[in-house]
Amino acid sequence: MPSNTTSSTKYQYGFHSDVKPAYQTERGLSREIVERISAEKNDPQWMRDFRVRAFEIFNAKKMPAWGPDLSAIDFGNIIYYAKPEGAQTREWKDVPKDIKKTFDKLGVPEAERKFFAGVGAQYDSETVYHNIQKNLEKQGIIFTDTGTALKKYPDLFRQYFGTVVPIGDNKFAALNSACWSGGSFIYVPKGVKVAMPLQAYFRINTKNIGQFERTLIIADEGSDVHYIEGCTAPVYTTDALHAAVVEIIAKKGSRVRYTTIQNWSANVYNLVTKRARAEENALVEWIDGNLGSKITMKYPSVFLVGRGARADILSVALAGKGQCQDAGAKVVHMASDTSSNIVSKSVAFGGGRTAYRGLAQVVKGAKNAKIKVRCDALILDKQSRSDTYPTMKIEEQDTRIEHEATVSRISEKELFYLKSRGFSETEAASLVVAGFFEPLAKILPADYALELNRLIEMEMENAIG
Amino acid sequence: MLSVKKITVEREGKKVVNGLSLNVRKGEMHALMGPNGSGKTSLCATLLGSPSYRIIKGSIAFGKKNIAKLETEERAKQGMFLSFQEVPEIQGVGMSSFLRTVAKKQKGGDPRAAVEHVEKIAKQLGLSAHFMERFLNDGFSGGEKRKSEILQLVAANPKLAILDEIDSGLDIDSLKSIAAILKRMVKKGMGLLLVSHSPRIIKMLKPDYIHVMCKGTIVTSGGKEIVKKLEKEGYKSYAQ
Repeated sequence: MPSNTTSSTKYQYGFHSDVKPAYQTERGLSREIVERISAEKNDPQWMRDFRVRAFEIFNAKKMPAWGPDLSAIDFGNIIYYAKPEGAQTREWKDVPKDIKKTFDKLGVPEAERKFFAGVGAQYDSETVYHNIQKNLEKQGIIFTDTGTALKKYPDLFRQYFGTVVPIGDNKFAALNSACWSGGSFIYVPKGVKVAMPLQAYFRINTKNIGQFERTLIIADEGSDVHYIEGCTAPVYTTDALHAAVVEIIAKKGSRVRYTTIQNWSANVYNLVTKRARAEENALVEWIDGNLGSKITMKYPSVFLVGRGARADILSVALAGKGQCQDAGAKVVHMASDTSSNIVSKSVAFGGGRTAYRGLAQVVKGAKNAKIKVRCDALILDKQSRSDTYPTMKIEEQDTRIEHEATVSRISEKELFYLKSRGFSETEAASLVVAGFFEPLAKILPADYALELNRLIEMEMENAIG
Repeated sequence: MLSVKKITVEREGKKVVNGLSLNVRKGEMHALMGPNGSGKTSLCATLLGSPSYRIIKGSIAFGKKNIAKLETEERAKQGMFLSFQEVPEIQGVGMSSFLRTVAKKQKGGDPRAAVEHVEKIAKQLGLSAHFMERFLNDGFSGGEKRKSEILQLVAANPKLAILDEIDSGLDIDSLKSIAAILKRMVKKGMGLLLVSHSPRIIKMLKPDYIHVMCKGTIVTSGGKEIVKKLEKEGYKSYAQ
């Protein structure tokens, strides 16, 4: 897949709409630019201070000394904030035409008709379309973009913002904290179960723009919510950076499922910090599908802080030519009777690289913790590679751990078998890869599962055909 | 329909089929018998164009076309089917959706009718709805693997079926059901090449022709008298 052309026809969503940003900062990041972003967004003083502090931490922090090579990221050549034309709207008819056209290409309205409970679609660095169904509001559910939440629900916002991913957690979380804009904010009141998944679409558009969305989900006691985000991005000539932060607070007895299917174009650095805090008997499920991008580093985490809390993490990655998917999961057991289940599935082809990087930690005194980790890697050719870096820090003896890892290849026998049933080589490889991703496909809404299969087929065609 | 003319086949530089000829016409049932290692499975794989085998002499025609250079999937689409002794297990690919796809691959067929027919056959073979939701060959018993191959055969509805040791691991009831299914398909015009080293299924199906293969070639062809002789004397008498 060519990573450096705008005219590529191979990448389905590799198009670009000529939407002019209404406002954007110049390239590079300085304290002054951070303050301008803050002013542009009408931040309260505390948020302005927060951004500036984050910027200082970002400057002071070194790049990660481990993992894939990030040295090609040119921080001085990135636009850190761009605001598209058109203010916040809630009605589809109010969405600017150009933007609508882009969403049409992505099939957003179609998906909406089928099962939307709410739409928060991010365009460039700002949410331009937000549709909250009346019944969500009636139940007291807040589903809005994060910038609006800061203004409309200042106390709730301040109480939780930055509490799960601290400002200085890592260089890219600090960068996000300094110049975040957009993202979703969700609050589900006590005992409320959201019947339908809440959805948001993201894509990077303005050339050379970094996207730093910030998502915060608070599930109050006994509530239940499923949030889905899907990403597609156009292909650009220069490297794009996506450094998001997602924070989830799952209170006593609640359940939060967060599903992501990301399909960044092959020049995007996708460096995302996702973390959840699970309180007593809460369940947090991360479902994380990574396709595309140049380098992805993403390790959805759950801190199990309350007794009986559970974490379920499914990380799925597909890496083709020139791509590196460094994905995995982190679980930290900080209370007794907590359990975690991590499943990682990755496919490397056409010279791509995948890695599972995981941490399972049990702190002293957290008794009867159960940890289950399973990593399956599929490697389609000799040029591709897969690595596993599991880390276990177990400080409590009373812990049960299971760890399983497999590496497989598509054998000539499998190919011959499927070809003898009338499948071409591409179709056979697609079938095997789609089958490998079945654990993901079966828990996705039908539309996403179909899209996933189409994407896999497309990737295989590019690699083999 | 299938016309194999004096083919010699190599695998990794070693001759595995040596000057073999064979003709199968529409609606004919042929049995190919032979001891282990006589080259039966190599012949089957060659007929479907396995990349592990190389034809160094002779020709293979299907219909009127020379297919020796045709890709495996093209041979399948022309109406050739091979059942495998050793089947790969493919995770995440459900039986019913796979069978549906196989049915769709066939030129000029009616996939919906084919799927309905497959479901009927599955019931005849005593396979539950749950079986149809399992993954392709994943954790199947020996008998289930054979039945999975038969279901794929029914879905593909080929002009020529080459069945390699389709009877191994089957209980007598399943064997009878499969024999009945095959007889019906042959009656409708399918050519059948039944490859086996055991006389059990041969006696049940009563093929029109029986061939004995030894050291890469057919050493004798005839009718049911061959089975009798084999049962008495084994393959030794042919192996000279």
